[in-house]
This record gives sequence, C-alpha cells and structure tokens, in this order.
Amino acid sequence: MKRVLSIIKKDLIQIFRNRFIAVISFLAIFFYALVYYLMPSKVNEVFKLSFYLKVHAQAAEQLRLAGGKKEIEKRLTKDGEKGVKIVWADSLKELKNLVSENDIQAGVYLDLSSEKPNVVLYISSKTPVEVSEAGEMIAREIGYTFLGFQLPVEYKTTVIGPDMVGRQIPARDKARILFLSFVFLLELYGLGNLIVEEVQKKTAQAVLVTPVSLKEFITAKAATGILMAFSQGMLVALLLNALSKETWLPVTIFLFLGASLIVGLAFLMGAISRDFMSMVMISLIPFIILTFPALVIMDPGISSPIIKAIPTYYLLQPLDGILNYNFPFSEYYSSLLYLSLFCFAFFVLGFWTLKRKLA
Amino acid sequence: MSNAGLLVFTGVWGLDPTFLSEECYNELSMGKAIVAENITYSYNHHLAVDHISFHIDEGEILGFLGPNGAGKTTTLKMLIGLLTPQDGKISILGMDIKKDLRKIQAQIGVCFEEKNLYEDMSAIENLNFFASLFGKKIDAEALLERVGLSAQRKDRVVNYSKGMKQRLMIARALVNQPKVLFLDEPTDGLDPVSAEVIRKIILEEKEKGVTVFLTTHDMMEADKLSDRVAFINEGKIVALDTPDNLKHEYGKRILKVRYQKDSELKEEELPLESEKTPERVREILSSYHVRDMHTEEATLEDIFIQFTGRSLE
Repeated sequence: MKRVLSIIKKDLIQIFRNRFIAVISFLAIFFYALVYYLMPSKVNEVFKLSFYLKVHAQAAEQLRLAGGKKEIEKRLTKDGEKGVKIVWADSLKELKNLVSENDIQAGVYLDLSSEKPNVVLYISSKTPVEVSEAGEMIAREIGYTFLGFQLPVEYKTTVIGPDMVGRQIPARDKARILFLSFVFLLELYGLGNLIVEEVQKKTAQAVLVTPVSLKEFITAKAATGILMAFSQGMLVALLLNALSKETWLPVTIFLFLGASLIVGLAFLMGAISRDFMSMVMISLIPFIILTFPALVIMDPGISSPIIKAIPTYYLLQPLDGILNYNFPFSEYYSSLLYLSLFCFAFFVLGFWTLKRKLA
Repeated sequence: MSNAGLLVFTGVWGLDPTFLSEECYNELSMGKAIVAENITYSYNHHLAVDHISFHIDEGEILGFLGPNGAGKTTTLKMLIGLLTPQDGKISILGMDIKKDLRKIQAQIGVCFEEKNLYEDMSAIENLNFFASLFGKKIDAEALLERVGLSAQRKDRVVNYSKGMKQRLMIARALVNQPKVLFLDEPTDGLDPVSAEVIRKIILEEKEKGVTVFLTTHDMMEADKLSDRVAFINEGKIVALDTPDNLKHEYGKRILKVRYQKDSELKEEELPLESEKTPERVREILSSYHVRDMHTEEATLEDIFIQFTGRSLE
C-alpha cells in the first residue's frame, strides 16, 4: 500500500508540473465556470407579437365601444398568461419593420375591412420553426376571434413523457452537462499522457525492477486517474451549482463511475499509443463519440437511437435529468447499472491491455 | 572440474546443462551472487539469447561484452526480472527468480542504458521516490554528493546534461544499498569526467562486497574494471575468463621495434615467444639506429575479433 501511495504522490507531482496537463485539467475548469456565469440564467419565454388592424368604420366603432385595443389585449391574454407581449403597429409597413428589424417574433395583419376577412402572419427569417408554428396558431385563433365565430373544433392537448411546459431550462444549465463531459474527456488525455510517458521514456521499467509489482503500478495509475477525474468533476459540479442537498448523492455516484470509465479508456489509449501525439490522434475518435450524448442534451433534435450504445449516455442523461429537471435518482437506476457494466468492461480491457504492454 | 566450473564450461561450449539435478543446481548457487543456467530468450523468431550459462561470485565484477544486438541487454533484462526466460533458470543471491522476484528486486540496483528518470522532478525527488519504493529512508544529499550532483540537487532533471543524468542513474541504482548492481553501458557516450566518477563508484561498491554485472562494448573499460569478462556474440557466450587469462591464452605478445635504415624509418613486430627474436633484436641494435622499442599485448578487442570475426562497434 505504501508503494502505491508513493507512486500516486509522484504522479500528482508530475501532473501538476506538466503545463499542458495543468492547463487542460484545471484552468479549463475555471474557464467553464466563467462561461457558465456569463450565460443568461433565465429563459426568455415571452412571445412578442405585433398587430396591425385594418377595419372599416362600423367595425372600428364596434371596437371602440367594446373597449378598443385594451380589450383586444385583454382577450388575447385572457387566461392571465404573461408569456405574450403585444406591440401595436400603425401601418403595415411599421408591422413589417418591427418583425424584420426588432425582436418581435411574429406580426399579425388583420384585414377586417372587406367582406372576406384576411389574416396574414409575418415571420422573421431568424424566427425558429417552433416559434413560427406557434405564431401561426395564435394568428388563426385571433382571426377567428375577431371574425366573431369559433371553429367547431375542440382543442385538447395531451403531453406524452415529462411535461416541459413552463420548465424551460436555461442554456447554461444544459451546458453544465457538456462541461462535465469535457472535464472527463480531457482527463483522458491527462492520464493517457502519463501512461504514454511512463512507457515511452521507460520510467515504468525503472519502477518495475524495484519491489513494486505490475499490479501495484497499474493500481496506482488507476487511483491517480480516478482521483484526478473525479475531483475535477466534483469541482466543476460545485462551481456550476450542481451540488445541492437533493443532488449530491446521485451526482457523486455518477461522477465516480464516469471517472472510472475514463480511467479504463485512458489505459487502453495509453497502451496502444506510441507517443503523446499518436495518443491524441487515436483518442480523437472516442472523444467525439463520447461527447455526442452531451451534444444531444444541448440540442435534442440531433438525437439518434444509436446514442444508447454510447457509454457516456448513461452518465450524462441521468445527470441532465437530475440536475436540470429535478427527476428522482430512482428514475436512473437502470442507467446506473448500464454505466457500471460499461465501467467494468472498459476497466478490464484497459487494465489487460496496459498489463500486456508493460509486461 | 568443480560444479561451478562445470556450469561455465557447459555454457561456453554450448552443451546442455539441464542434466544438472535440483540439488546440484542449489549447490552451484551457494556463494554465488548470480547463477544463470541455460537461459534462452527469443523475440518472435529471433533468438536473442541462446542457452547461455554463467555465474558471478559475490563481490565480483563481470564484464559482459558484445556488440550491439549481441544479447547483452536481453540477458540483463532476464536477470533483473523484466523478461522471463523461455528456458533455463536464474538464481540471484541464492533465490530463484521465478519464485522470489520481489525479494530479489529489493536487493538489487539497476542502471539502465536509457536515461529513464522522471525529468519533471529534481534529483532529490527522484532519489526519495525510488527509496520509498524500497521502503527506505535515505540520505539523498549524501548520495548526490557522492556522484557530484549536490549543487544541482534541486534542479529539474530535464535541465541536466547527459553525464549528470547518468550520474543520477547510478545514484538511483544505489538508493537501496544493493547487494548486486546491474549496469547497462553505464559510461556510454559520456565525457571523461563523468565516466571516471562512475568507474570510481563501481570500484568503491566492489570494495564493499557488491557484485556487479556490467554490460559494455567498451573493451578498455571492461579491462580496467572487470574481474572476469564474458564475450557474447549472436546470443551465445563465446569466451569467459579473466582479462589476463584471455590475453595470455589467445593474445600474441609482440615486441615492436622502429629503427633507421639508411634514410628510411623501418618497423618490425617480433613475437616475444619466438626463439629467433633475441637474435634479431641483437642484430637490429648492432646494425641500426633504434628509434624506439616496446612490447605490445593483445587487447580484449583483438581477442574478441579472434572469437567472433567481428569488432564491437
């Protein structure tokens, strides 16, 4: 045990003296924290609509009698929703300008001046598809409201899966998962480099002709790797507000397993690489693959069924659920099991490959 | 012939010593720091070490000589436990390397040919780290003083010269006060000062009773330091004896005379053992003006070439 501790101590000295590793390991963490706190902490869920009404004299009189624009605003936000903000335009040109040059998401032109009422929706090219679809629906509803009759259709909405309405997650909170995945994957380079150097510079040989056994040597490397990856993961979690009374236990467990997963992978990469540059190149492929689940969390639109074959899916998806949606730990017991199995498989494979390389 | 002599005999002449019983083998190991019997190692299909046998007495320095690729380093790696012999037996300090590797490694010091030091760490940190692996507390400063590095003890090794690194390698090999030292080309490519420091330390350790296995392709160094030398070529030991015996047995001692004949400088080599030599010397002395005259012995290099037909370089 004393020999293992001596090697761990030596490894830590080496890690902190290597500028490259120090930069990718710790300065990056403070960079993540900086980015996190610079990103907006709230989601802008206000839907800004602009209106231009073209009405004939009789209709205008009716509107005035009915309370005018204030009444229309009241009717549009009748359920007390604060998510819709209305800006009135005095002309069609102004309406178009508001949409194209300001942050108005949609402009509704209501022409009630003729026999056949006309409703036109103006959308900026920058407006996201889902927002434009919502705008279209609102425009239709308003149109029908002003025309004085409702379509004989009953609208009913059923949400399948977790209902995210009103639970929009700020991008910076989603980014926490991406940052955590970066911490682990960059540690892959850190530990991989340590192993490659020991093999390439033959310092491992010098250690292995002392009473240190191969098993002790690799155990020390595994402990150093887990310690580094886990402590950095926890530091990031702490800095990015991911540790609370409710989340600390599942976050700690998942981060520990994530650190173990990375150590197994680093052993494998370190053992099959000739030098640091080849290790960087070889590790690029797993790096991209393992980052993919984090990117899917940032943008669910790019998801694919194959994602479930990526080990980090079972690390990042539970962290996203627990941290961002307050889902209970119990929801992710199966993920915990899969992650543990991946950890075991990578660890055994990495240990075996490194043992063969050193022997 | 003694058992030890038998073992060396079988190794040198390529006979199979596996007929030796366990008892006989143990008896042979008594009082010997290193006993290698019939050890073999091949990389893929290349036979690097081909059934060699030798022993080294306690407190003896054995120079293991051979050109690059002869099998010196592979033999050394088998002796220190980095490679497992594919055939044969190794005993260090009376312990079987297969059974007691860790115990053996606790009592040996190794200086590799490659400068495999932790370069981000200082000399003192390197020594303290390796001492901790042996569970020992050492006076690292005194050890560094011995190899002439006390002034640079806190400098990172990455800034050291080749000679300084090599001296630190020697200091590292001594952190556990080993009973057997394995030195792989310890003075290769070094400046004369560093090389001399290392040679002095090797002799000091021998004085303390430490056994030294020294691989080198520097014949002069082997001649100066070794009690016995073994020539290895293409994985086989082709000769093993004291440098003096080898020179006596295989070398030709000659008398070299340079004299002036008319206006020309002539040179003659006369074999010392020849009956005609005294007469010829008298003749030269009486007839010509002798510029210089001295005896010359065969070098280990000459003898190595005789055995192998190739030089060490």
